[in-house]
Amino acid sequence: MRGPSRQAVDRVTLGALGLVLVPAGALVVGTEPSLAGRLPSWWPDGLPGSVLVSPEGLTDLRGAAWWAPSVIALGTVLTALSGLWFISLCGRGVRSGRVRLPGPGGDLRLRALRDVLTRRTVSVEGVERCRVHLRVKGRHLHVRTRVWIHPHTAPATVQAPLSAVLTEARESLLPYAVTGGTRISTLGHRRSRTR
Amino acid sequence: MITPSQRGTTTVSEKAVRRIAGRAAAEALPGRAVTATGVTAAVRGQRAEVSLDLALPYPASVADSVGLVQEHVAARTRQLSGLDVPRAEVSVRALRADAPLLRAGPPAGGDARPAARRWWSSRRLPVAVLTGAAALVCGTLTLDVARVRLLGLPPARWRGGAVDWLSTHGAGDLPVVLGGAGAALAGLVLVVLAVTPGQRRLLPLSPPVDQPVFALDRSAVSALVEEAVSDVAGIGRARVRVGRRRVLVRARLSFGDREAARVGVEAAARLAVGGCALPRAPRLRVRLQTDQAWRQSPAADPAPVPQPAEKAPVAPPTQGRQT
Repeated sequence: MRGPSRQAVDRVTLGALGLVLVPAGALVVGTEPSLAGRLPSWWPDGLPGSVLVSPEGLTDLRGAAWWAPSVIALGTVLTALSGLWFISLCGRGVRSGRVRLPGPGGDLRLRALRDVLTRRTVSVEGVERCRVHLRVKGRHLHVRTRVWIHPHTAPATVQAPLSAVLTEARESLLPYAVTGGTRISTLGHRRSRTR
Repeated sequence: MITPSQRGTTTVSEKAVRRIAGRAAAEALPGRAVTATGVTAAVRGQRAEVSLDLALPYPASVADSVGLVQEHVAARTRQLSGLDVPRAEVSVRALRADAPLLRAGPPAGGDARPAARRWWSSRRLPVAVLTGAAALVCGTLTLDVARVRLLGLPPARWRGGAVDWLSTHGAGDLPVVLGGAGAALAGLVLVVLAVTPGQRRLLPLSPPVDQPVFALDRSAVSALVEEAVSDVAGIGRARVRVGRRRVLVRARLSFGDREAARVGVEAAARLAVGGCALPRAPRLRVRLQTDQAWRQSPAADPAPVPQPAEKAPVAPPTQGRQT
C-alpha cells in the first residue's frame, strides 16, 4: 500500500502537469485567427514557427550524432520510470509479508494479524462484515478497515468497540505505532413496505 | 578396560528435539494457550537449531510473548536433550483471541472530541491512467527509434504519418486549436484533482479522543434514515438523499393522519441522523406525499390529534398531492 508521502508525490505530479498543460493549451488556442485581435496586450506571441515541427529542423537533428542515443536513452528511462510507477499503483496492499519483532529471531505474519483483526471487528455487535488492510512502514503500522453494519445499527454505537479493537492491537504490537482509519457502510438492500 | 572410543555415543534424534521444543512452547505462557503449529529442528553435533511456527494468544504483547517462548524453548530443550540450543527462531502464524473485547468506557469529556477532518483521496486512478499512458507512448516511440537506429529497419508508418501531420499543421489550424483547448481543459481537471480532497461520498465522523479516524458513507446515512422512516406508522416508501450539509427525506403516506406522520417522520429521521455521530447536524427537510389510495381520516380539518385510521368508511377520496 502507498504511504502518505507517495500520495503527496502523486498529487504534486498531477498538479504540476496540469499547471504546464493549462498555459500551453491556452497559448495554442490563442493562435486561432478569429481570436487574434481580441487578446490582451500582455498575451505572448504564440507559437514560434508556422508549423508544429519544421522538417528542416528535424532533418538537422537527425543528422547530429548525439540525437539518436539521447532519444533512446531518455525514452528508456521515461518508459521504465512511468512503468514502475504504474505498477506500484496497481498493487493492492500487503497481503502476505511479515513484521520483524524487536527481539532477534522473531517475526509476525501480517496475515495472522489481519485475520485476528478481522475476527475481532466482526465480533462487534452490529458489524456484519469487514475488510482489513494493513500497511507497514518502518515502525509504523496503519490499519485501514471497512465495516458494513446493519441499517438498524446506529454508527455511533459501533465507534467505541471498534476503537477498542484498535487499542487492543496497539497494546499487542507495542514497539510498533499503530494507527487506523475506519470506513463505515451499511449492508443490505433497501426495503420498502407498509406497516 | 573400555576405551572412550568403545563406549558408544548418545545421539538425540531431530524428532525428539522437535517434540521437546513443541511441548516447551505450549507451556511457555502459563495460563494462556500457545500452540506450535510447526516445528523444525536440525541437530549438528552438539548443537540444535530449532524454529517454530506458533499460534499465540491475543490480546497480549506479541513481542513479549515471543521473547518468553524463545527463552523457555531454548532453556527447556537444552535441559532435556543436553544439546546446545542457541536460540529458537519463532514465526507467529496465527493469533487466537481468547478474551472478550474490553468495553471502552465512554469517551472522557464529550466536548473535547477533535474536529472531524475530511478524508483525502489518493487519486490512484488518474495517476495510474497518466503513468500507464506515458509508459505506453514512451515505450512504443523508443522501441521504434531503437529498431530504426540499431537494427536498420524502416520506421513504422504511424511515426512517419505523425511527423508529416505535425510538419503540415501549425498555429491557427482548427485541429491544432482544438487540441490546445483540450489540453488546457485536461490541465484544469488535473489541477482540480490535485487540489481538492475528493472522497465526496464519505462523511467524516467525530472520532473519540485519541482514537482512529472514522468516516461514514453518505449512502449509509441514507439507508439508516430510510430504515428508520419506513418504521413510522403509515409510511409506505421513503427515499432519502444525503448531501454534505443536508438530508432530504421524501416519504409516501399510505394511511393515517398527515400531520402526525410528518411529526413521526421528522422525529425518526432526526434520531437516525443523531445516531451517526456526525460532527455537525445536517439540515433536515421532509417532504410527505400521499399515496393514491390514501384517505383523510374521518376527523378531518385542523384536528391535530392523530386518529387511529383503521377503517375510514366515509370521507371523499381526496387524492392528495400536497407536499
